[in-house]
Amino acid sequence: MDSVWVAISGALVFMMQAGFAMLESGMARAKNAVNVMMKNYMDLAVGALLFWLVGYGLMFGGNPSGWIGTDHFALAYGDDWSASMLFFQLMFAATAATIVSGAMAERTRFVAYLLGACGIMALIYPVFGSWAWNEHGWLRQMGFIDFAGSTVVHSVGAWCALAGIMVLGPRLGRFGSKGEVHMIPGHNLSLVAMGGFLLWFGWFGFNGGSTLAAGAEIGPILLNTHMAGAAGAVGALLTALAMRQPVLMAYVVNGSLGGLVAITAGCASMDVPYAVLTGFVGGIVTMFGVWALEKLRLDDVVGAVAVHGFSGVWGTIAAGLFLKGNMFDLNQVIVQLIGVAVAFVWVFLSALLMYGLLSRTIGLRVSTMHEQRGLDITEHGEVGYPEFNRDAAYQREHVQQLNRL
Amino acid sequence: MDIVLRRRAILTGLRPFLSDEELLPAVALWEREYAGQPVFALSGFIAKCCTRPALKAQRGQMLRAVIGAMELPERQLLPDPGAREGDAATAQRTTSLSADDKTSMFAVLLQAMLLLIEPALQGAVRNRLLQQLDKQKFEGVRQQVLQEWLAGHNATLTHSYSLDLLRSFINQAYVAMCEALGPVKADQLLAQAIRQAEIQGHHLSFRVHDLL
Repeated sequence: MDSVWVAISGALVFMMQAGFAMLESGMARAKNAVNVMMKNYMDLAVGALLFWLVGYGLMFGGNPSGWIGTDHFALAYGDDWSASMLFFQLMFAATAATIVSGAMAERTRFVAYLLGACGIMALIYPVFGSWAWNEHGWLRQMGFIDFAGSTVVHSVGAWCALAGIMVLGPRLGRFGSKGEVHMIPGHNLSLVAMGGFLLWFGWFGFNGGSTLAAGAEIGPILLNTHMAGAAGAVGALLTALAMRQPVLMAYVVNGSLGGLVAITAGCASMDVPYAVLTGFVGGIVTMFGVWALEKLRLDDVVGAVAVHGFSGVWGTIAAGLFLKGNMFDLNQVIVQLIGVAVAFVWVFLSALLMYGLLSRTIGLRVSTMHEQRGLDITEHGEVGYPEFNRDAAYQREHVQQLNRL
Repeated sequence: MDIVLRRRAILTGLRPFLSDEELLPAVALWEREYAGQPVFALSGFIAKCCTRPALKAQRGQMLRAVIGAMELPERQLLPDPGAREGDAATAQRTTSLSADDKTSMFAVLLQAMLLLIEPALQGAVRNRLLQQLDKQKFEGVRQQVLQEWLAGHNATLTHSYSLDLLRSFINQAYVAMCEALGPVKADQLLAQAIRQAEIQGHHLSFRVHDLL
């Protein structure tokens, strides 16, 4: 029964990949829509193989030192439960990796991006995961609470994304030379909304499946998850109104996701009102995070750093603050802060090194000519909407004419 | 201040002192040697312009006149000596037969892009392309011709250039438009310019998309 629940939950988490693809693609321009979809599709595929080969062993293998797993690599003869666990955890690893895709959209070389995703799934994510989720991991031994991965999954993805966008620089023309900010609206808000729905749906598997058992606790976890997502959307809505900003689709979708990210750490250890509060603050944190990054001239196309990073930090702290039966325990909060800080230092620095190396070797960023043409054409040789958008500079029939650069 | 406005200021400042025959070469000299230099270098420029004893006596006045013209509002400046009249088709019509079809198509497309943006931004785009040209190393006359054409001095592009160079100029113009207007508007204008260039350059044997 447990295996069935975990396997179904893994399949639900898989659907989050589709949610990310839709959300990120909708927030990108039409000339980069295929590229964003492809990145989400292929990081899952390439990453799955690597996580099976290396990542799972590093994360969940025997870990006598508390720092790194040492077996279960390329698992071939595991029992049924091990297979279910690997399947479920593989989807989590893919989620961490694919968070990066949206932030770095519209100016990243496809192959370099995939190599980065490999680095995340094979090394960066499992190493931190072994500290926090392996039963002998040193953070876990300290009492670090991160039930389904506000930090382990979401912040890890977000700090990688932050390093990526810092190495990459903003999209061409995103910020003018005199400091002006040029909005680059996404090409399809329906996709954004559907992506938001799909992610929210998948989150029930993400948090619910993390029980790793088909028990009665699933109900409260799913309720907390849903209420936090709803409160996050409302938090974003009220923030937009309070700041006299238009209530954009991206704001409320990101607000709901911020709420969901925030509750991920404490969804199994909070009462419902605190889950609502956690989600609500998560939505607000997301909004201000997006604006702060813009002020810093960091170009995060989908707001991934704010949604998954800043809200992940808040949610992890909230899991300590609102711990059922041990509320506002300072010692627990300190442990949570240590976990958050360690995650940032390890993930951000290693990702910065990885993307820096990629940038200096094979190149991470496309040329300005490729940005002009759009990555659908330059990276994949196709056009996302060949029968529509006939006013665009590049059409399907031009692809064959264009010289390779 | 962009290069077109500064050129007009130089012209306006020197106009009372120089004859018609002296004026345009002086502006060309400024553009070639002094446009990228700070204002105090104008003293050296004026010294070079004073080729007659009568002018040498007026050197100080000339310098003050030129510096004063730099402060004038745009409407008080004389028209740009390199300003182009007419539409993008003019560029193609005035392109010499010695320029090949790809260079002609380039002229049509770039002119179409420039005509879609405001004069101030046109100046910024031209500036960027001139800076780009400075980095290129090729034979002097061809460089001079392209420089004059890009600066808007000359309506005629009489030489042919490599596809890579022309493509990089279109791309740099697009980059300048992205930085000034944002990429969404720049994409729209590029698409519009392409459509115009396809019509205006329909008789050329070179496809506009090969420049892109």
